[in-house]
Amino acid sequence: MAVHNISCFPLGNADTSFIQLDNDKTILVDFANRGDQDDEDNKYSDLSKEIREKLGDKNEITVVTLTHLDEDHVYGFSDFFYLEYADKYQDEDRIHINELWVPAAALTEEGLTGDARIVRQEARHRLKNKFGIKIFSNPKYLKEWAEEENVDLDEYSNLFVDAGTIVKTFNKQDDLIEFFTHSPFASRNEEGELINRNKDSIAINARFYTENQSTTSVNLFSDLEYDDIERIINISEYHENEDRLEWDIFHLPHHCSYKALNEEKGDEKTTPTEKVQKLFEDYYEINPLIISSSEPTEKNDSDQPPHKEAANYYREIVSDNSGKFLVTMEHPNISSPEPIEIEISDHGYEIKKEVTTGAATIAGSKARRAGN
Amino acid sequence: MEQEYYTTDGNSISEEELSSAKAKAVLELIKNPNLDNFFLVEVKANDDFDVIVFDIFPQVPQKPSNDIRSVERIATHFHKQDKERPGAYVLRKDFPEVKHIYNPKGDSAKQLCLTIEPYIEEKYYWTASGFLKSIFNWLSKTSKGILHEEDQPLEEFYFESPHRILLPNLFFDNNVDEIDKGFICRKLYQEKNQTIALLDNPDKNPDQKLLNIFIFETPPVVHSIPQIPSYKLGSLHQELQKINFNLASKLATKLFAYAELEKLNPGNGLILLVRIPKKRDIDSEIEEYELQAFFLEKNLKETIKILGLKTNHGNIVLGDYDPNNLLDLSLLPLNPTPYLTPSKALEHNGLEKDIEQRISLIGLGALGSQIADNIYRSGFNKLSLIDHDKLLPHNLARHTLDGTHLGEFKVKGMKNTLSSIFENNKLRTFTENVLHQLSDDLKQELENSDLILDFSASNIVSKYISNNIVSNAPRISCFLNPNGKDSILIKEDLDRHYQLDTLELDYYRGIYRRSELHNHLDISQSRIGYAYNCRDVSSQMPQINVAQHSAILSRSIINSYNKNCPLISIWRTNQKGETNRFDLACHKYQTINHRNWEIKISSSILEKIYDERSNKLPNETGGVLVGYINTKDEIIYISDSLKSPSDSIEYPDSYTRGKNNLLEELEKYDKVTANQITYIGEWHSHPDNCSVDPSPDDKKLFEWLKTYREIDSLPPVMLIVGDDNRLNFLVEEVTNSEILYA
Repeated sequence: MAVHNISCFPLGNADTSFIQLDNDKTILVDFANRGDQDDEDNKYSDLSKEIREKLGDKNEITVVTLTHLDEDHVYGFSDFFYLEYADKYQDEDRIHINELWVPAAALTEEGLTGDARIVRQEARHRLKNKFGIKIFSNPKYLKEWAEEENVDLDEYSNLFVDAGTIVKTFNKQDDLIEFFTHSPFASRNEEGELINRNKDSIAINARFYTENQSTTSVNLFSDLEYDDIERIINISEYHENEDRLEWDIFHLPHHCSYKALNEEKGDEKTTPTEKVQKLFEDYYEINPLIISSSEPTEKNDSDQPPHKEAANYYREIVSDNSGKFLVTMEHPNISSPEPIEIEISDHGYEIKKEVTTGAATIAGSKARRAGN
Repeated sequence: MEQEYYTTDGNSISEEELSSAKAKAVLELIKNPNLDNFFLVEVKANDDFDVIVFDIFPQVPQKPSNDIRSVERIATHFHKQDKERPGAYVLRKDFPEVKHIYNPKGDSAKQLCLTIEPYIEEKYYWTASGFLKSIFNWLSKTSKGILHEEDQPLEEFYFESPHRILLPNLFFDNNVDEIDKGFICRKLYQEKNQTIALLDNPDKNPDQKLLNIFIFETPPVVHSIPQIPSYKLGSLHQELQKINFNLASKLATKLFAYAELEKLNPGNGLILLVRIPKKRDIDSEIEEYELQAFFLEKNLKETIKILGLKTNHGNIVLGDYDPNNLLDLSLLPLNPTPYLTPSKALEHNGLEKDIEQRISLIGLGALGSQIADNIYRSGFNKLSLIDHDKLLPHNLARHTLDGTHLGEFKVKGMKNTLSSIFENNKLRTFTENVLHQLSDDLKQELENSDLILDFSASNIVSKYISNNIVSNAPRISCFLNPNGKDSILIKEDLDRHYQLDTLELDYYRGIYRRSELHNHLDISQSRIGYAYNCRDVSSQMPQINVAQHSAILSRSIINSYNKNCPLISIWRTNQKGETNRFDLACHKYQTINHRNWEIKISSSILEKIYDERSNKLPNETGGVLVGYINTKDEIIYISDSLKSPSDSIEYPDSYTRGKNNLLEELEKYDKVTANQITYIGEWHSHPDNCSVDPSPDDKKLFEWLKTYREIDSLPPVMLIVGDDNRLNFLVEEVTNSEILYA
């Protein structure tokens, strides 16, 4: 029986999901390595260690998707990966990327610093060399940039992925997965709207299969806001792609921000717009799982996500329907969060639980200082 | 809708009032903030048990196979004096009827079957943590339907009865409906409320009355939750009716027919064998058959009477004949267990099932008896045991036989002991000394063998069986060194290109070449009793060493008997029981017939001599040949050569072998090999384009050799080596005949 695995790491308000397919291919969605093993108070996962452990003796990830260039989606990229564009990122122990997925905006954005700039350089290098990259959408501004750079994009058509299509890197037959692209769409900018990182980020629906044709769908919606989501619903329904809105697992946009649901936060609970409500309440089959990659939701009163009002809405959905609402920094408990490990099989999704042993915990931690 | 739960027996108590230490430990753990999957509901107690009720949050998938919920309420029961295994009951009233539940159908909380280990053993490692984990795992796995793995055997139709009947294997042949042969109950043990009966062929005790045995086959069933076996024919009948089998009617019909034929033994009891074909799923094929046995406690005459049949002057008369009359009869359920067969033994030992080797086994001393025991129990059942000794008291210190066999020939004792292991035995015995004139039967047996094993602890026997027995079977010789710390296995290849006699010389050569083995054959210590042979096991040697090496050698025989390569291996154990293995090189030997002598010379030594000759050209060179001489069969073995001593004089036309260090080296060879490898003769080279005929000087040298070898009563040997690998062996007399070595 085919078994796929997804891990969602506790990184505060930051995203990293790691997918291991049954055939051992791997997909990393965003990378925000905020863990610090030397800081005892830092409860974030040490991504370098966690991902290396999951890769075992391999040193390559099949696909690394960076949904957009915000720091909480690319942090530490330049320390961890083997980058093709510059020698100084080519130490032996770095992890190779077989294919990099980025939104078109990541190639053209100027004035970048830090990891965001390095991602852009790597993406440009790969595009110019026509290997190991998929660019999500092909908007007008990219064409303008290409002209300035003397790059003839017609030669690169196989490197572009349009919204409303399935990414050809994987195929259902061999990989038992399909990635359907919801966003970004080129038309958004052509309608005159300005480039906006969040709105032009990659949103996908991953549909996992087993040999028995059991399917489990996961919506990974980056940092989209309610109007982006409404647009996705409208377009999908218009093109009769509603089945690609269906989900068993929803990886919430923007760390449980109320803005993914509505313009207004609401008093106790955010009330979603009609369209968004339809997505969250009508497009799952049974026992939905909602994941918020965020800080704990309960005690947060700041303007920054996660918003407990939004969380209250999600909790209501799952409590009515035997589902689960999990927050990365609350799983399995707030005091020592661990990655959410999800197994996908004929039985749908399953959250792995461990009845921890003391010895394993001790052996897995740095011991406290002894002496006087 | 509110979830309905069974209530648990007992009154609520405070946590401090718990008396069971295990209950307290479980309670503490449930309250431990580091465990997220348990939530305490209440603490109760009744006269005998403490009860802890809690909610558990197992790992349940999105779409479970069985209706296990993400929260289940569990009551755990702890006997206050710990006289019973802590039990876990799931309280939800609509909990599904799944596998691995003790009471699946009753109107009460279902008890989870968490382990099959006896509680008396489990107590030694029971922990509250392990107990809670086992409940967690039970629920998590059952939710996915994987508690009973796909490759696990099917569930039993009946739980195992505490009573057993040991049956010949033919009863487990699923095509057998009638057993024509009669069977007796060879032994019956009724102890501590457990019955065990051993059924056997009547020839084991011809005076005993035969049992009545009926076999029934039910329609196929899909495996599910096992049932408790019936003690009344009525309840057995009802259970089988559920799978569309009318036992009472079938039994009555058989009784009628058999009574009419007067086949049955009225004074004896009746055994019912019920064969149940089992499937994994409704649509799958029959995967296996389960056999259940029931002993009808009334004798047959009474049973027939109860059925309503009467015999009137030998005729059957229908009285109040009614199959339902039988339903009140008492039964004893018996768990049928087949006797061991060689193929089962092979399987238990992890070996291929189709091993059919006919093995002759020479020498049943300490080592031979223990290895015979090991390989026989491993399933190599076609053994011929050959030995001429009787079992004496001193043997008992290390022999596998016990004192009841004292004074018997060892082969007889071994046959008696081993023959009870398998239902049928194919053991043959020969009370013969292989060095004497063999009986025709034994000659035939050896000729037909697939493998000949030698545990005689005599190097004479190994040489003898190498050359003097007509058989294509490869030979393996095993023995211990004098102090019993090392064991040795010498094995021929399947085509016998390498034979035991020459492999033994390579064994000596090997131990001489490895300084750590120089004490291997040291016989200066630990000799007791009457033995003087260096390999005689009657020297001082602990049984634990013999047992350890028997196991090592048995393993090596089983692993290598069908491999087409020769082997010389030594295993050395130290005081701590650690073992090191040394594999020594095996070489082919060239056989040269010379007058009445046969010369067997190691090919590797010839190569070495050719090389030394070439290296010294244009000068001549030479050295000393060592080996072993079998005077009875007139075979000269040359296994090694010693280098030309440093004071030798080497010229293009002459060679004078020096003496520096030579005697010391020969003495060392002699000592290291326990006098087995000694001086044989001389060799020297002739230059290119020269004959290998002896020169006048060579002839003088040979005569000189002969003078001294006569004192040893052994022939002088001289080898002359020329170009193109030409050889001339001179043995006993000067000859010019040139022998080419290809």
